[in-house]
Amino acid sequence: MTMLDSPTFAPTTSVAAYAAAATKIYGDGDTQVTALDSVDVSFPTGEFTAIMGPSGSGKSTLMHSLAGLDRLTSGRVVIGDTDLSTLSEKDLTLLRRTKIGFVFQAFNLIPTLTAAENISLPLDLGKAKADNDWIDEVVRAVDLGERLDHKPNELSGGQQQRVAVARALASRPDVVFADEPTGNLDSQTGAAILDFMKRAVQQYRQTIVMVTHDPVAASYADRVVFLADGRIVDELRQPTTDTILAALRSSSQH
Amino acid sequence: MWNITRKNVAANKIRLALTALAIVLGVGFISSANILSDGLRDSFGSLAAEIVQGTDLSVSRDADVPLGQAELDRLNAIDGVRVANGGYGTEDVLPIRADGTVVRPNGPPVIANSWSTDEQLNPTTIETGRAPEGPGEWVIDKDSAEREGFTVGQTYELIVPTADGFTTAELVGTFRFGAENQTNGATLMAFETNEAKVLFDRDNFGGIDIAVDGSRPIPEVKADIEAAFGADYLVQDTADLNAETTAEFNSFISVFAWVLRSFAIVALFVSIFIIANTFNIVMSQRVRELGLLRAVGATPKQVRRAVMGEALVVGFVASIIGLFVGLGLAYALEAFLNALGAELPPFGKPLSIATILIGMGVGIGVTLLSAWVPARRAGMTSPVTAISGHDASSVATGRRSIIFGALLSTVGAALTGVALFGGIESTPTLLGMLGGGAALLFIGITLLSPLVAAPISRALGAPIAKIYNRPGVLAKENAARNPKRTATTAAALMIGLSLVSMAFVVGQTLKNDLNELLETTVKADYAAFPQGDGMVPIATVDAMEASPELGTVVGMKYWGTEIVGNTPLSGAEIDDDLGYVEVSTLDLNKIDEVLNLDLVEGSYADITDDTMAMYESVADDLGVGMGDTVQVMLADDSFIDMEIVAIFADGNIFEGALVTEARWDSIGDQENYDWVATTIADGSTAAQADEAIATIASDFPQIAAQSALEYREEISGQVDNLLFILTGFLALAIFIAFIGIVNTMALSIFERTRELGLLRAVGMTRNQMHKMVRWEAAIVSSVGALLGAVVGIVFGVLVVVATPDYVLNNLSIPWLSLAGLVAAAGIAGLIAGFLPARRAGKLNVLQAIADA
Ligand SMILES: Nc1ncnc2c1ncn2[C@@H]1O[C@H](COP(=O)(O)OP(=O)(O)OP(=O)(O)O)[C@@H](O)[C@H]1O
Ligand SMILES: [Mg+2]
Repeated sequence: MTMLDSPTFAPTTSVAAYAAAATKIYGDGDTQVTALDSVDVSFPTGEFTAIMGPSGSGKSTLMHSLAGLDRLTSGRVVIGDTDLSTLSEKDLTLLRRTKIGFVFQAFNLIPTLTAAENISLPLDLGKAKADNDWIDEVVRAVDLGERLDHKPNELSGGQQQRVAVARALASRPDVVFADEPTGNLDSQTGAAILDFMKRAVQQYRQTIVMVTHDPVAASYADRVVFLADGRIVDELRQPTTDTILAALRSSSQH
Repeated sequence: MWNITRKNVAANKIRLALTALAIVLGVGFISSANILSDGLRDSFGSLAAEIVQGTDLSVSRDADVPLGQAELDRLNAIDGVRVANGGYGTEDVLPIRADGTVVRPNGPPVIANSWSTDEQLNPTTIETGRAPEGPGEWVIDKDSAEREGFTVGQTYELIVPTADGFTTAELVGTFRFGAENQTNGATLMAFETNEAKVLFDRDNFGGIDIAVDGSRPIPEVKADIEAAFGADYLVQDTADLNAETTAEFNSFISVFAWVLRSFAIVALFVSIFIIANTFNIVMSQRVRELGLLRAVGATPKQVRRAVMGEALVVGFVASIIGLFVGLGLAYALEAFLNALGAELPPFGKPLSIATILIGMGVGIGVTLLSAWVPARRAGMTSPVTAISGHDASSVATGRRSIIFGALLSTVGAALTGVALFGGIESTPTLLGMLGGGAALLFIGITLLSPLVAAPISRALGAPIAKIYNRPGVLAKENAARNPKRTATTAAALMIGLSLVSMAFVVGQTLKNDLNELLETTVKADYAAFPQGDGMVPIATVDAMEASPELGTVVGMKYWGTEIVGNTPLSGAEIDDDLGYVEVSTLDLNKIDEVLNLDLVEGSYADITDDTMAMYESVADDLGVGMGDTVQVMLADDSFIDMEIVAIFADGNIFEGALVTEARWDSIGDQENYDWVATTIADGSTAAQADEAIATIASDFPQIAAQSALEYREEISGQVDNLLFILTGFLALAIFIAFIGIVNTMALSIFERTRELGLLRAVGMTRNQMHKMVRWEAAIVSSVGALLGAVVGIVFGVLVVVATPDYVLNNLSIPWLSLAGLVAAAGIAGLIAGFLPARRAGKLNVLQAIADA
């Protein structure tokens, strides 16, 4: 995060997304909550970042702000070389369609579309012609076989999440955001999803930001950022389950 | 449980408001029909009293017996009679304004009467000038004089039903009817009695009014008259007359009210589908909550009661609002009818106890009925669903409802079939069976339609998916994802549109038949018809014959009389009039020049004064054929034998029998013509003949002369008008169906909040979301319209087949209009989808995602 010390910092091509002095305040007066307190964070291209922190620390808020789903109270978010605060509602939507991928904890798929259709949904919503080789590659990676033509309610929870990750990758976005993508899965199924994500980072230099409570899941990342009370309190590179647990212990003593 | 009901009602205001709207409109229409008929009945009741007041007794003909000067003299001689006064009345006299235009009945009638010189027997009073005293004099009611610009002292021309067609008379005075000249918009005129007899072309008095001298009780006088005149004469006292007049008014009012009511019933029937559908959707959305209630110990009965309680509240509130809407509608309808020139009497708008009870009963009843099945289903919710969760958005079609649907459809179809083809003769039974059969059929089809709703939605949605790519595909799939919901929503629309489509099919067939009939049977270039109720005067025919541009002129006359064959005429039991056969005549020597009648057997040349040609289906009905003899009733009620020497085919311009002009004169009592056909003279051009015909038409404003083509166009136009009015009335039911679409869409969107949020998150724009929702609505409504068109065509075909061939013969289906109807429904669906689409677009993405 030293890279971001100066607010005049100009992004290089090696940064997929960053937030500068990101502040989000909910409500006003007595009920005012500062969910994000001047957060500076950047996500280098091709890096798998995990965000951890206690419940209510602002992880989801940060993710939503980064992903253009929510607007900051002050500060800015830049995806690629686009400053989100300057975008209209419509442009923000188009940006989400092309530059950002999503994986939620549950309910990631449109029930009326088949797995294959769900994967290509962001591309189909636009007029840009799809990169078919890439889509084929992603679809092969999902390894769903004939289930590709099935509707989501005919897939297991793990298969559904795999389709969701594939969907997030389909448009070759600048960043993929995943909010507890394995939260609803058993550890073995979860591990498969995390493997899949890790491969996307390693093989295709995809940038992924993932929120998780699970130290095992976080250990798949290249870096872990710790959040508490809307501030970044710690950071860990090449984490293992043990170092994460230690960091969590120490940050909770703050 | 009442507490839960209360909270649910409060929590679902918009949904309940939409549900209630259907009830409000239905109850409003029913109530306005009742309010209107109550008010009009009161008002016309006092009018009836005003008309008959002063007449102590009245004598009229109850059979074909004379009622003239001799009978008047006999009555005047009866002890206790002060004065007897014979009178005439007609609607065939029309005054012509100073500028040459004719005062025509425009809703309310134009009535001419003879002037009664006895003050007691005359309900009118001279206002200005004096009473008519002899030939060439007339009077008019004061408001009409003012409205139409007639001035006392001036001489005017009037159209009269004599051979000349016109008379000239001086307006010698104006009068008022009753105290305030409350004529309800009618134009009233009067002539001196003998002059009226001549001008109105009458042989008998319309009736003889009697004032008693008070020396004997009225019943005794009445008994004397009855004894003297016998059963062929009808003797009535004031009470009888009042009852008769009131009954005439009331039957008119009740026909009017029943027309309103039947459309309200269709609308309420449609409402049942919508309300049931709404409750069903909401119950499946609340399945977790209901499961939880069951898990914590609520019995099925308690859950059911909570739901029925909700329905009760909705029904109650909506019915009360509906009553007031009905009141408002009654005012609006009065204003509307008055704007059309009806000049209804000012009438009270009483909310009678009966109106309130009927309105509330119907409104609450319909709501409870609609909620019954959803409530039962809610009660049967298993407690497990609270925990397991359950996708409310897609429900499989139950086998039981399919079987039930097939059963209802079969019973409904059977009932309709028996009604159409079973030869049922009582009209109420027939209508009841048709209505009941159709209702069962509609419910049955609705239960069955989930089977086809998904494929139809996908087929209709395919082009949309092509055009709009993913939003289009989603619109199509969303319409298909819950076939039951789509089917029920569409069914509401199906009902209204199937009735419209049926009318289209019948109307088109009627138009084509008439066109074909005219095209193949009429050789004449022009036809002259009376405008309104009158006749074509002999003078008009004379003028046509005198015109060098016109060739052959043939006048036609019809008269209904009794013909006895081997079997009674079908339909004769229902109504006396239907036992009559229409007997036509024209100059048989000229028939080939103007008409092309398709003869099955025989020849016109054989028709003498004692023989006739007969229409094929009438001959069949009477059980007679070529060479057989029938008995024909003459004007003096005696019968003569006539032999059938020719049979003409069905689908001809004459519907009964054809006789010589000489024979006809002993059957009918009419010198003017029903219509006249004429040709262009040899050596004249069409343009010259057009001009000649136009001149005659302007000289005789009582007729309308048209070329064959103009006439065909006019008939088509009239059928179109009828269809238009019918569609207008069904618009209420169709409108309610669209409310149903808005309602279902809004509920579906609520149900799909998460999904919509996800779509927005992955990059669907608001615009795309609007399109998706609106096209889904369009697909659902097109499914309804398509089902409606199909059902309507089937109904239409059945009606055409069931109706005798001389009324409806060659089935023709207006494919283009029907396709237009389906397309229009699709567009209306797009519009109906507007509000739900906006709601979907406004969805907060974060909240939608968070609503896990
Ligand atoms: N829409 C909102 N209105 C008001 N306060 C909010 C809203 N969303 C989040 N907050 C508050 O902001 C803070 C951060 O919330 P956030 O959802 O980002 O936490 P989180 O770290 O994702 O927690 P968890 O691990 O439980 O998902 C919390 O105190 C929360 O109560
Ligand atoms: Mg969170």
